[in-house]
Amino acid sequence: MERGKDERLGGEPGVEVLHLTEDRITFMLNNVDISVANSLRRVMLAEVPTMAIDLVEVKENTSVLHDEFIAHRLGLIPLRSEMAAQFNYARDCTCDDSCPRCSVKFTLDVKCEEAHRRNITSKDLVSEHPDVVPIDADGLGDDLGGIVIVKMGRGQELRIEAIARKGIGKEHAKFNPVGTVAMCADGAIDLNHDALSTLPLDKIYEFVNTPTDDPPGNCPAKVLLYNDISKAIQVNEQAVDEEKARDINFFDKMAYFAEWWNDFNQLKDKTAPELIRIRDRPDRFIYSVESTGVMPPALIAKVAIDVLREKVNQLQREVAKGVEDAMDGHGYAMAM
Amino acid sequence: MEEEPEGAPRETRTLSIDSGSDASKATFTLTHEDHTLGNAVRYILAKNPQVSFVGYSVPHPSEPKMNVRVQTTGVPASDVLLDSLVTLYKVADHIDQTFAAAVDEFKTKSSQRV
Ligand SMILES: [Zn+2]
Repeated sequence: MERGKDERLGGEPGVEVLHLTEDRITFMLNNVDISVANSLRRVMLAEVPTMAIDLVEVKENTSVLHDEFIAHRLGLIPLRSEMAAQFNYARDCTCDDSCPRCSVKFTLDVKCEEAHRRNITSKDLVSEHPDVVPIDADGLGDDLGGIVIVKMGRGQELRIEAIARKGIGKEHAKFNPVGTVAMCADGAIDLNHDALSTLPLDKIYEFVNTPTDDPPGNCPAKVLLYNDISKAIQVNEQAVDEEKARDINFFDKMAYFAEWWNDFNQLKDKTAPELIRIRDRPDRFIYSVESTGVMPPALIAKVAIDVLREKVNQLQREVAKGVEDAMDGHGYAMAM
Repeated sequence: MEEEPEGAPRETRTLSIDSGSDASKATFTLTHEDHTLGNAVRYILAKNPQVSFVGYSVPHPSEPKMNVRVQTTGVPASDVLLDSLVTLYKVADHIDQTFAAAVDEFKTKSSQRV
């Protein structure tokens, strides 16, 4: 048997990266069932370990926000988590309370001496670990230069010691490494050339690229071409590839477009054929994963695949052991 | 350093098997598992020709518990469940190996384009 081959789908699972930026990866997973594809989506959301502030000790707080409010805001600050794999979960660690193997200490010690106001941001947090630090939020929002924790007036003071720990999104959403994980089935565009050839030429041009008054009637991203010489409409496969890498909703938009034109063609004659059909490819899935900034998007996907595999591995060992115990206890395998 | 398994701590995880006298049918109750593995395991079992029935359920969303019910045409239900986990492991392992190569391939391709 080929590695990981799924007999029904008749091929090995494959991965193709469609697009990769600093904060987003778009990739396609081929030859898997939707249940397996969905497992990967769920793991990226809820089971990729990251670091986040989990324990806060307030020494002094004369700001306008009460202690719990600030503790909650600290917890939600994304921390760089590439190193998360090297930390223990606090509950599994051998230490009594916290140690460098399971925790990173943060301190925040600020007093507003400015005449008016001062923003206390994630940049005021001092980490004990060089790699577990608040994400670089420069350029996000207005002129923040950090994630605002609280705004303080003259004379107000905030002194805090906090501990960041490793966790997963299942425990608390602050550990979730992704902004969004969108997943959809890949699509295919089928043109009914016989029916299309009966359209008048102005309608054909409209179908391909002229904007109509009705937005769903406009072809998304010019993925259809009219060849004047062969008098046929073609799908521009390269444009489709670019567009589905750019926009996870591309095939949804195409489906609206198809519905509009099929309705148009069937206005007078309900039995008229469809002009275009958008088909799902249920063995191919496109993922669009946006990182919150705690780790590179490709690493999130990579860790998620590892976690999924190790989950299965662990379950396999437990079931094997559970079955063995059951056989010892009740002679339950004797029935065979 | 040995990698700790992700998810719930191991000591709180339990597996119980309710099978009665006939090993060809059983309900496996797993704690700290949910739809993430449940649906994938169900799918792989449903494709197995030796399986005549399979279903899974998460009885309550706030209770970390999942049931898998398997009935086979004769072989022990636990055998086909273990087989399904081996298959799922191979799928995940294969994706894992393919993924890194796919990222590298994309990076090479896009650096050539520039
Ligand atoms: Zn520790």
